[in-house]
Amino acid sequence: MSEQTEARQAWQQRRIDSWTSLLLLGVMVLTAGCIVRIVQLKIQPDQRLAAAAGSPFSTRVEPARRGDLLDRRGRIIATTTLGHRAFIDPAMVTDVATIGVDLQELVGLDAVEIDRRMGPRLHSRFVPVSDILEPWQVERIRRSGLDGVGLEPRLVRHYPQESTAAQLIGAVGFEHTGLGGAEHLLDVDLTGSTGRMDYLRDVRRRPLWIDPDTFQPHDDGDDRRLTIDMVIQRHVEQRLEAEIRTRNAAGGRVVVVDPVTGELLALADIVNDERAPREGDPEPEETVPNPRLARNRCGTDPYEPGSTFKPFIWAFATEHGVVTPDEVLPTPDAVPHRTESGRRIRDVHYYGASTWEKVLVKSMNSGMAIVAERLEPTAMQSCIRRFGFGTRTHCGLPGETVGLVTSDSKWTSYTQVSVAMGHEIGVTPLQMVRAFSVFASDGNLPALQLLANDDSTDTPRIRHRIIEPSTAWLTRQTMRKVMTDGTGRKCQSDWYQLFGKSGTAQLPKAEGGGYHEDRYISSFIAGAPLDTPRLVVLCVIEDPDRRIGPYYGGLVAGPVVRDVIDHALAYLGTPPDLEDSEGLPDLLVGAGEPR
Amino acid sequence: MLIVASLLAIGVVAVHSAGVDLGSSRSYGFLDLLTARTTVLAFLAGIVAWGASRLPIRMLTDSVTGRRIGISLLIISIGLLILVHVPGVGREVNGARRWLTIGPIGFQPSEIAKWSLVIIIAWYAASNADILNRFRRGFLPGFGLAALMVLPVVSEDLGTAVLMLTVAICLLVTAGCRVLHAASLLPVAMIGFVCAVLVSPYRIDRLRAFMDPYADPQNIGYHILQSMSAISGGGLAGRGLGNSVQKFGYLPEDTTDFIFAIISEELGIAGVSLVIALLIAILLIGRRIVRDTRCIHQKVLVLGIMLTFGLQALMNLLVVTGMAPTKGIALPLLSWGGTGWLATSACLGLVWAVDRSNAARETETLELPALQPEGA
Repeated sequence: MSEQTEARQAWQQRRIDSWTSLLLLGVMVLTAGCIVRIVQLKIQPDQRLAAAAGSPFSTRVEPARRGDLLDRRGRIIATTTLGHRAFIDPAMVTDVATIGVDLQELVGLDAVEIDRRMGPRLHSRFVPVSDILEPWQVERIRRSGLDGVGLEPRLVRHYPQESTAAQLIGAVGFEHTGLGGAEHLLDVDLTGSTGRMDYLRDVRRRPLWIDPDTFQPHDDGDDRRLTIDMVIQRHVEQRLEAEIRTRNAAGGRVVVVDPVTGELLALADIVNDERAPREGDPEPEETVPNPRLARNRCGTDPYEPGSTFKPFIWAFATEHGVVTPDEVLPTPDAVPHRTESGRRIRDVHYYGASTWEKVLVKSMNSGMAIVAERLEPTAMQSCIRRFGFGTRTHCGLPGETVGLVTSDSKWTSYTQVSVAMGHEIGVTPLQMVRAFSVFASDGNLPALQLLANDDSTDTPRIRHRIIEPSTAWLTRQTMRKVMTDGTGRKCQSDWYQLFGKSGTAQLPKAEGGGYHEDRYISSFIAGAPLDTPRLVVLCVIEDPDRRIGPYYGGLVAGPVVRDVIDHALAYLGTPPDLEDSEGLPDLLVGAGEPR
Repeated sequence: MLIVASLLAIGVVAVHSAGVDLGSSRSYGFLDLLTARTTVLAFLAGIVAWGASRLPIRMLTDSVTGRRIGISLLIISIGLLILVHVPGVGREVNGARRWLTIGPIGFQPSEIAKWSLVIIIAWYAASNADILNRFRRGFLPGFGLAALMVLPVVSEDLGTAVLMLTVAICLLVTAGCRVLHAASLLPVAMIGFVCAVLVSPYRIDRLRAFMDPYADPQNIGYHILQSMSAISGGGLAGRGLGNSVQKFGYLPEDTTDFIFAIISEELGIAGVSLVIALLIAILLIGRRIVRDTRCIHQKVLVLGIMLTFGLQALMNLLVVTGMAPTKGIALPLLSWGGTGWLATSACLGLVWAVDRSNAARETETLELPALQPEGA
């Protein structure tokens, strides 16, 4: 090999080595440089990247089951199940023109309605085409394998007791939230927390696995027990409705309460929709689309209690020594009594000078007026307030009102006398049963409750002593005489010693003030048994038709109260306290007809 | 060899992870991994590399044998590339005719042509070292040889064609051709490249997607965005081996050209760094072997193999990270592909053979002085 060739080879080797270093190092540097780009993509990617690439995760919401509403004995009033409704994904449907007919033939859905719903939403991926389906319809759709037809699970609220206590229970809306009644009142407790999970899906949207960090299990809502007893409630509603129809009344309300615990056992409110409007009636209210959303007037609409209010004044005046039960009052024997201000006070019957006890038994307005004039206005106002009138019971019924009580500044001697007779005052049935419970629970004013107290360790509800137990007992005994010798004679029980008071107030005009001359609100409130009262029941019948029969509280509302007490006490297993009674009331006797 | 085995092992695991079969309900155990086709092929690739390293490299790189091998490879490669277009033998995959099916075996002739070109150019550069600095007699015939092999590839696999031509020109320049000569043909190559792009609408789309992938994220920008999303996913630590999200149908070609994105998503910056470090290590070792080699032919051969290996890896990384337009370039030894693995391993085996030859020569050199005093 020549030197020139060797030199050339050496030069060529050096050249190759240099170029090799240059080229390979260049490639290495660039390759290593890719790490910078990767770190940038990992730490600070383009803000548009996540949105443009799309997320492979989907979120699935797991609806929480709404809690059940139960009655005091655990009977289901409202419960939730899972139902399905059909929807169509037009993009997946083989033939949009015939899918309606296919579904009609398959499960009986209305093809025209399906086409109408799909028409404007052909570009949507979700068009609901049915309400909640029957199980057989769901099964058929599942088996049919129709392209583009899906089933959307939805929570469905059931009311197994049907229309019983409808307004009291209320209803839920489309999103399964409480809209009225107990459903609204207990919405927070009944509503659980929705569960959710993010799951990874493949490109064909098939779920792969759940991201454990995002999984939140759903928490079903709590069950809630009401104090209402559905057996008593159903009987009350049937009995009240029968009375309303018999009397062709405008409506009626009944409240049943345990006077010791304040638990409401039944709350019925019925409006007679079939009665033809009479002159002076208020404009009919706009029909509520769902009767469950109608208000329960037992807590919202005050009425004039009339003579049923007298026991409160009677007990207060007696307790404060203003008058004694034996004191003979100068009540008139033939003509209306004239008050100090000259106002004429009429009685239904005139008995002449009578004892304070007889005043209550015979429901004498004159006697009440005489004692009312002895009381200071402040004392009378104090009496009203102590018995809880003018304040809400806070039992939980939505929309409860405070009633109508004349303010101290507008209080006159006329008011003083009127209120003693149960006029010029508006009370709600709830206020009325709460106040009357004072006589049945040794002078204590109970706190009404609609929600059962499940926790036995809870502090007992505070009760306020309004009158002495002896006064309560005395008043109860006097009201027992109302049943035997007074206005309650016609509605005596065959089994229990009722104590109560009737009331008949003129119906106020809807407009322009004043009262209808010949239209009345008949009410009756009573408790039983006499010694250890377990129930207080109030019935208010609005505007019974005078052309058909009587309108006095003792004759119209009294029998309802008696029947309800007989049935409820027998149902509760309370032994009869009338000495000459035989057996127990027959629980199976239909409540549809008055006895 | 250890590095090659490491890369192949990472490749097998990553390909298995990315290729999770959603349709299958059967469980997949370690034994299945060991007996899987990828594992067997990786093992085979190792044997091929070892086998290639035992070849008598000095004999293969002498002028006569070198010419025989070069011409044979040239004819075989061009023949195979033409066969691709013969109906019944050539197979179309993803819209491109790149595959040949002979009996039960399917392979890509461009993979063989790519490595053949390196061997051919190495032989050409070595046997014409004296005249390489001349344009007509030196550079142009070499370039012509390269063009002859690249042209059949251009229409179906532009990425590989660019890689082949780049490597060929680099080798010619390294061996002695003038840079000016090579640069003078640059406009011709550019025109050819532009024509190749213009005749294929999908190449225009790929360019548009590269310029602004966000303009049409659901169509032309989809692939590159999903790749970047995969790299970005999991953060620096990665989601963990087997936990890739993108592999479930979102990232196309996840076991082949875009396997690096899945590695990045699953193993994070640690896995990425390991792969890149191994790639660079191979290049560094290659550089040392080139410097240790005295034979021009072997020098150019090793450099050609290293350049092909390194440039292919670099092009793949640039594509996967969104820094170059999408093209069908695999990551050597990692992307799933039987032909690629075997051919790459065989060529790296040749590099090993050169290294062994160097070591043997050094031993001889060291032993000679020890013998001389005895002889004297």
